This record gives sequence, C-alpha cells and structure tokens, in this order.
Amino acid sequence: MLKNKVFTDPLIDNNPITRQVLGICSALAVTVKVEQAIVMTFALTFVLTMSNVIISLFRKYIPHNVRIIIQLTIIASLVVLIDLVLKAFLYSVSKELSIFVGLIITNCIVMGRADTFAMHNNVKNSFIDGLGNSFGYGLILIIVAIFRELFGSGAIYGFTIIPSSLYDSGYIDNGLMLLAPGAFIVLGLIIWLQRTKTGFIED
Amino acid sequence: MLNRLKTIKFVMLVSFVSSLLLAIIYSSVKPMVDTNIILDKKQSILKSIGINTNLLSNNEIEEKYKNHIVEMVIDTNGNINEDITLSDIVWKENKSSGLTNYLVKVEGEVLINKYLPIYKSKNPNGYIIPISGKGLWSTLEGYFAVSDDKSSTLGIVFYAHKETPGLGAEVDKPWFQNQFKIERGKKIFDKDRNLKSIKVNKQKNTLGKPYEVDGITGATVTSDGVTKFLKRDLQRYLNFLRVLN
Repeated sequence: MLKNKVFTDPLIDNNPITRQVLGICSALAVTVKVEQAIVMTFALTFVLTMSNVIISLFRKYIPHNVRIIIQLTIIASLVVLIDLVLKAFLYSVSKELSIFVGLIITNCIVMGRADTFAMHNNVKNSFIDGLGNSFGYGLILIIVAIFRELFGSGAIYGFTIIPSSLYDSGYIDNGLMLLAPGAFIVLGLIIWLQRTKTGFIED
Repeated sequence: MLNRLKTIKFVMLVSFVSSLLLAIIYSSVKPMVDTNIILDKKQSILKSIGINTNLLSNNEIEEKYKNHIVEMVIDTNGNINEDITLSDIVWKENKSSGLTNYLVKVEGEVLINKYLPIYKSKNPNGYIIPISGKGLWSTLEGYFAVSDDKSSTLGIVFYAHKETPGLGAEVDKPWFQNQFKIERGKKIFDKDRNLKSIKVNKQKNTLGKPYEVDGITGATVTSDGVTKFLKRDLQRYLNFLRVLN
C-alpha cells in the first residue's frame, strides 16, 4: 500500500466514523463542546498510535490465540496512562471528559486497527495508520462539536458567536443539540453528504 | 505443550511489564493529582462567594484563598472549636444518601458528625457550607454560601457530579447558580428564624420569592434532590446559623 494512502485513506474515504462506523459512542458523548472534542482527539491519537506501534512491534511474538487479550492489556495500560496525565496536567478538562477517557478502551477504532492493521503491517505503516485514523476520527468529532456547540450553546470553543441582540429578539439555543440525538442528527447529515459525494452504498 | 508454555510466559511478561510501568507512573503523578483536587475545591469555595477564578494561575488562587477564606470547625451546638482544624476531619460519603459524614478522631475515639467544617469569608463577608447529596445519577458535591446575616444567600457551586449534560448538569451553569447571588434576595430563614432553606421550584417564575429558585426543565430528580439535600445539610448547621453574632 502506498504510504500516502495509509494516511489519507482514513481521513475521508475510509473514515473510521462515517465509513467504518466505529467509535460512534464517544462521538456522541464528547462533542458537546469543541474543547472536549479536541482533547479527546489528542487522547485517542496518543492511544491509537502508540498501541498500533507497540502491537506491530511485537506482532511476530504475540501468540495468535491470546492476541486480543494482549492487545487489550496494551490499550488499557495506555488509556490509564493518558487518564493520569490529564488528571495531573489538565485537571479541569479531565473533569469534563470524566469517564469518556476511560472508555477509549472500548473504542472500537483502537481494537479494530490493532487487530486488522497493526498485527499484519510493519511499525512505520502502523504508526501512520494510527495517525490517519485518529485524525479521521478527530476531524468528524470536531465538525460535529462545532455544530453542536454553535447551535446548542451559541458559542465555538467557549467564545460566544451568536450576538446577544439575536437572543433579545427571541432566539433560543437548541437544547436538542446538547443531547445525544443532536449528535446523531449531525452525524447522519455528514454521512449522507459524504456518501452522496463518494457514491458509496452499503451492501 | 511447549507452545502453550510460551503463551503463558508471554502473557505474564506483558502483564508484569504493563503493571510495573503503570505503578511507577501512578506514584509519580499522584501528588500532582492530589494538589489539583485540593486546588479545585479552593477554586469552588471562592466561586461560591462570587469571586471569578477562571483566568487565575494556581498561585493567585492560593493567594486569594488565603486572603478571603478562614477555615473553621464548629461543634453541633454551633460553637467554634479551636482545638480541631479542618485537616483533622475525614470526609466520608454515605453512598446511599450522598450525605457527607465528618469523622474526627479525638483521644482514640472516632466521632461522627460531632464536628463540622465551615468556611468564613471576608469581603464579601459570610459563611460557606459544604453540601452533598443525590441527584439522578450521582452524588452532587458543592458549596453553599450565606452572607454574614446567616440568611441571605451569596452563592452556590457544584464541583463534582455526573448528571445528564443539558439537563441535570445545568446545576453547574451560571443561569442556575446566579439565582443564589446576593442581589436576587434569596433567604434561608424567615423573620422568626425558622429554617426555610431554598426550594428548587420546577414551576419557575420564582422572581421575588425569597425561598425559591427556578428549577431545571426536564430534570425533576436533580432539582428535587438539590432541594432535599440542601435543607438536610443546612439542618446540621442550624445551631450555628440560627444565632446571630
């Protein structure tokens, strides 16, 4: 596979959320605010890239029959690590992300990439694949978060965008956007838009 | 057989290495996490009396805390106890009711809820009382501040909860907490010094009603929870609050 393709493919064409439909759970949970989405993206990038690299490094030694357990051990260790680092250095953000950092362990993207890609490819490609998939995930996360924060709380990245004169004339923030269904709707619109453009149809 | 042995060895090795690494990292960042938690509480205490700490550095928060807050311990009769300091009190949550029990060891005996923590604030003058209790999904922990007439509310803050974002979690939004500011004229005592506490009223439209604030639409359980545990926790401080000095 071409190096470029390994990185760019998961960004749009083979995006983990919109095309592989993985990691939906966290995409609903941490997209209320753009800041949360960005921190989550960094956390996932760290976990996914590192787990891909480590698993790819040992792929020849990992016994096939217990590979899932080994992968999970590595991923879980990395997640606990990033959780501790956040608590130590970015306490307020870690408070807002609360359990969702811990739930990276169950994020299907990480396990999915570990088992389908890192187990069969060299370290360099696995690293790039990890980055690509994280950014693909982050891209969607941030787009969804921009929509939800703008229409749900009238702000982007904490800065108020919608002028107060609009509120005075009767505009109300859409509370639905703050709830999980709001994320589903935005996500659905993105998938629809993407599939209209690429012409991809699910079998 | 040889293969199976190899598998077991490998699994054990992986488990050993990852636990060792995590143990080392945990013990090295633990002090920082603890400092963060304490700092976060101090920040909440300052916020409860209306001091904005958002843009302050850690040192500035410590500085402000020192200037504004005096930590005190009172007994159940409402007298200030000088022998016991706040750090002697162990906070322990009752998991079913969310009530915080305060444990103090005096001469080898553990006393429960005989001594209570309270914070006295200067400028604005008042008292800050820790509150905690059940909402819908979780225990809410926060601080409730009254002015130095021990009745007018100064503010409320929640620093820990796991309520639904957009619904119960609105308790930590400004629109909800601002209702407890002094200029809204909310009071916890009537003129005969009977404890009324503050009711979180879902009917809304509580402007001008001294013992009620607007509740949260779609979050009945959280609203009722706050009403319930606020009164319960204030009750413990009744002997202190009722007396004006």
